[in-house]
Parts: sequence; C-alpha cells; structure tokens
Amino acid sequence: MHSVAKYEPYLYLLPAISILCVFLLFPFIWNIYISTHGVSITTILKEWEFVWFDNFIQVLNDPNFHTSIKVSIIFVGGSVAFQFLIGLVISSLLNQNIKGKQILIALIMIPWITSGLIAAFSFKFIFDNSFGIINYILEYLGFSSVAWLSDPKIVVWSIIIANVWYGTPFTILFLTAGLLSINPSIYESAKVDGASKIKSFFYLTLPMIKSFIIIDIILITIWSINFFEIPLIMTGGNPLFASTPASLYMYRQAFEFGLLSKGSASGIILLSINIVVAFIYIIALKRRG
Amino acid sequence: MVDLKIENLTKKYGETTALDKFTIDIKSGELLVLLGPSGCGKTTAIRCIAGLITPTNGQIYLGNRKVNELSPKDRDVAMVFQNYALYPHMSVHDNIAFPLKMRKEPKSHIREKVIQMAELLGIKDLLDRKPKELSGGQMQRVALGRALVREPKLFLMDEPLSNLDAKLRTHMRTEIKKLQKKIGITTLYITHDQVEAMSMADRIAIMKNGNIQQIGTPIEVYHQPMNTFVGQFIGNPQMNLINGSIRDESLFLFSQPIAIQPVDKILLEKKLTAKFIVGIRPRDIIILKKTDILTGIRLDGIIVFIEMLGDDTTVEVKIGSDNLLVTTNNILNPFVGDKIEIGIEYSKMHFFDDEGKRIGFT
Repeated sequence: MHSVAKYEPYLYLLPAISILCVFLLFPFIWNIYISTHGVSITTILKEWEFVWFDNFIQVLNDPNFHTSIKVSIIFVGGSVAFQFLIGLVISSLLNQNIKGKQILIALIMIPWITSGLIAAFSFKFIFDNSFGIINYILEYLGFSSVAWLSDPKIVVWSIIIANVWYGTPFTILFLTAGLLSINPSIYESAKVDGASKIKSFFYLTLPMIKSFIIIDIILITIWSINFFEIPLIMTGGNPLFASTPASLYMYRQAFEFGLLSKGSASGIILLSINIVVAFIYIIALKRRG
Repeated sequence: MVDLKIENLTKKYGETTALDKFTIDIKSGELLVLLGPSGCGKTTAIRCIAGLITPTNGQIYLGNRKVNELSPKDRDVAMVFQNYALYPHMSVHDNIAFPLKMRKEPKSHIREKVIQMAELLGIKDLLDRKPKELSGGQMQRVALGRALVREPKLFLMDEPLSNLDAKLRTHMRTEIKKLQKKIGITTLYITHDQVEAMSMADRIAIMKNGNIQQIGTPIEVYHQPMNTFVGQFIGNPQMNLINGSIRDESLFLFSQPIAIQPVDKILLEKKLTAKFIVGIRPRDIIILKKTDILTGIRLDGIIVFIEMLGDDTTVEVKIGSDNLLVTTNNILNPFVGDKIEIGIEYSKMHFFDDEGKRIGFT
C-alpha cells in the first residue's frame, strides 16, 4: 500500500509527460540526430552519413549566419527596447483615474490577440514600396518614398516596427498588473511627504515594479529571439539575409534551401542561446523570491 | 506649533454630500479626535486637510495661512495612514529619511535626524530592516517616525491603530498620546472606536452623515450628550433609550406604557414635551434590594440574558415588552429568569425630545 501511495502523484503526471515526450523530447533527440548527419532534401531517401560536427562548423563559418546574428541582435535589441519603453509609458498613463479606461485597455490589446501572421501581412501591405500607405503618405507630403522592405539598411527596422506593434500590448498588460499591485495610499503618503509625480515614479514606482520589469524584459527577449513569422512573411528574410534573424536563418536553411542538417544544427545553436537566457530568467526569478 | 481652523468645509461627490459645512478649531498642541461610524465623512475631512482631495467649499487655515490652494507638500502637514503605507522596497532608515530626502536636506543632517527619531520611538535596532520584516506595532512606529521626522506643523492620523490586535492597540494608544504630548504637535486623529477616542482625546468631535454632532472633552460628551446619537455612540454597552410620554400629569415609559406614579415634581419641572426620550447608561441602572431607598424610578423586570465580562457583568432585563441593558459588578450572581427590581435615579437620566435633541435643564 505504502509504495503505491508514494508513486501515485507520478501516475497522474504520466499523461502529460507522455505528450511532452512525443512532442518535445522526441523531436529534440531527432533534431540532434539529424544535425550530426548529412541530410538534405535531395539525399533524404539515401543513407544518412554520420558527419560528427561538420554541420555546426559549416553554420558557424557561414557569413550569412554571421549576418543573421547581427540582424538578430538589432532585431531583439530594438524590439525589446521599444516594446519595453513604449509599454512602460502607456501602462503608467493608463494607471490613472481616467474615463473609459477599460475600453482603452481592450483597444490596446488588439495587436496581442491578432495572429502574428495577420500582423505580418498587414505590415507587408503598409510598408509595400509601391502601393503601401506609408509611402503614399510620404509622397503626398512631398517626401520621396522609402524602400521599407528592400533597402538592406532599412528593412530590419521595418520588421522591428511590426514586431513592436505586435508585442507591446503584452508589456502594457504585464506592467499594468505590476502597477495595480502597488497600494495607492503609498502615492498619497509620498505626496504628503513632499514627492512630486516624477520623483515618486523614479523613487517608488520603478523600484516597486522591478520584478515585473525583469520578468517582462526576459520574456520579450526570449520571444523576440525565436520569433520569425513577421520577417518570414514581410520579407522572407530578403534582400539576401538583411532581414533574416537567426530564427529565420534556421527555417530558411531547412525549408528554403533544403539543407535539413544545417538547419537542425543552427536550431541547436539557437536553443543554447535560449537556454542561457532562460537561466538568467530563472536566476532573476529566484533572487526576487 | 500652530492651530488649525476649518470653516464651512464642504465636499460633494455628485449628489452626495460627504462633508457638510464642517467647522472646527483645533488649538495649538491639542489632540482632537474625529469620531464617527464609517461613512460619516471623517476620512473625507482629513483628506481635504492633507490636500489629497479638493473640497467643494470652505476654508482651511493653518496658523494664519490659508492652505486651500497649496499642494500637500507645501502645507507642512504629516499623515499616518491606516495601512501605514510604508515604502516596501526601502529599509526602515530610508522610509523615515524619505520626506527629508524629498526636501533635499543634507545627508549628514538626515542621518542624524533619522537616528534621533528612531531612538525616540525605540526602533533604532530595526533601521536596516525592510517593512515586511517588521511586526504590526513596529510598522506603526516607522510610520509615526516617517511622519514626525520633518517636524510638521500639523499631524493627521487616519485610523492608525485599526490594523493592530486589541492588546497592542491599547498599548500604542497610550504611546501615541505620550509622544504627541512630548512633541506638542497639533494633531487630528480619526477613529471609529469610542474607547480610543475617550482615552486619547483632549477633545472629541463626533460626526454623523458629514455633520459634527458635538465637540467637547471626553467628560462632556459622555456626561452631556447633545443628542441620542452621541449618547449611544459614546459608552459601552450603549445607552438605553426609553420612549416616554406625559398624559394627565402621569408619566408613562416604554412602548407598552408603564405608568410611573406619582409623577415626581422634579420631572415635570424639566419642560418635557408630550413625547420624549429618556437615555440611561447601563452602568447607571441599579439592581435594588427591597430595602434600598432611591430618588428615582423603580421597575420590576425579568433577566433574559447574561454576559460575563470579567470585571463586570451585562444583564439584559425585560420590562414589559422592552429590554434594558444593565451593567453590574459581578458580586451579584444573577441567573436567567430571575425576577429583579431595578432603579434609575433621576440625576442619572438624560432627556431628549422626540427628535433626539437633548432637553437642557439647569
């Protein structure tokens, strides 16, 4: 009887764990297997040759991979910075006694409930070089049109703008939750103590929502690293690799160029980057209790 | 130290009037308690004075200065909140130092003042702790320290003891009173607890529905309540109210009238109207022995409920169809169902007209 009771909780976990094994653990191991063999779309039906770390070396030496890492850094850095700052400003403004607050919050959440695909297609049309509304407005105002999606220097910012539009509502929602956790009488007390609104924001609000800020930044970082629908649909990663972040590089290698094992190898490199960020996340969470 | 003068302070929220022509004078160094049930407007009043809300009408003078238009930080008032409102991410030291820091006082000066205040409040050992590591009483002290450290002109306290357990509350109210007298700061203190008000106040202002019902020393409001509301609000157990009427020179009491005969001259001299209310405190009712002599009213009743409180006992006595509360010392050993005779002395009776206003006699 005793031993059954001891293992009983694990028994209940079994269905969930089995599903995880099928959909997470198996693909993971399968991915490692592919990444250490030479497999491409043309050789998939032949015998898979074991090539040790050849695929990893190829990826790490690929100038396009270097470009995609640079694009990733700009994409993730820009997305996180703007999503966070815009989110902080909007959530602070929303955290006041204003009429129609609930409706405003609902409106602001629209991008977040939209599918990433729809957001990407919308921005593809908005930024379209010849019939996009932005260039139409620019030309109407007498400026020359901008090659939003084909200029290698500009294209990364176009996908950042789309991602910021799409991702900021999460930060707004998350930081609003943080702001709501602050007891309002603290602000009244600060008022009587002589703190101006700006001072109470920097001395009280920011430190009190610090844990929300840390978690928010780590989450949007991880999501931005892995996010590839927007660049895939808006530009397909073009021109060349100018709008291909590492996540899209992996996808393009495997499914555009058919280099399955090179794609798998870059996937594992991306996974290790994710693990590092996840560790920072866990440590930050533990430190905050 | 300054006095606080408030004239016709009114606050309306749409159609509801939270505060109606609130007028009061608090003398320099005085501790005045605003006492009233929840929703009576006392918190609205204190928040208007602190500058956290803008009154619809009326003037607030701190000393000779009208402060209506000033922001909270320029009024030089300090406030302790019901939930203390300590800054959770700051140490006790930084919490107390915060108002000084906001006023850009020099660091060494801040340090010195914080330590001085911590010593006065007995929390010097806690300066490095965070609020969540403190007990309720300690948090209370930190909140007091933070409020008093910059030596404000006026000290406002909004139910500061209601989050503490009963024993600590009794202890802290003595401490706050002593501290207030030691510093000599003009203080407005809000509570709904009449014991707190009676024990701490130099004067009490009792409020109901946004109006002040009576202002006076604890003794005055206890012994000469201006109306039935004050009479019942002050004192525990609350004052018994008995309906009375006069017909044909006979006095009748209770809802099923019991004639009290013969009508005492003393009573008729009190200009009683045809209908009136008699207030009598449970403590002023005497359980009589047959031989006792009394200048007052004798009534027969049956004990229907007994509540032992240790120091004394509250007995509910049924007289006709009405019940009276009687507080007696516990030398007596009453039982439910006992028939007893109670006595009410004329001198202990409070008379109110049928609207509840005190009928003044001299």
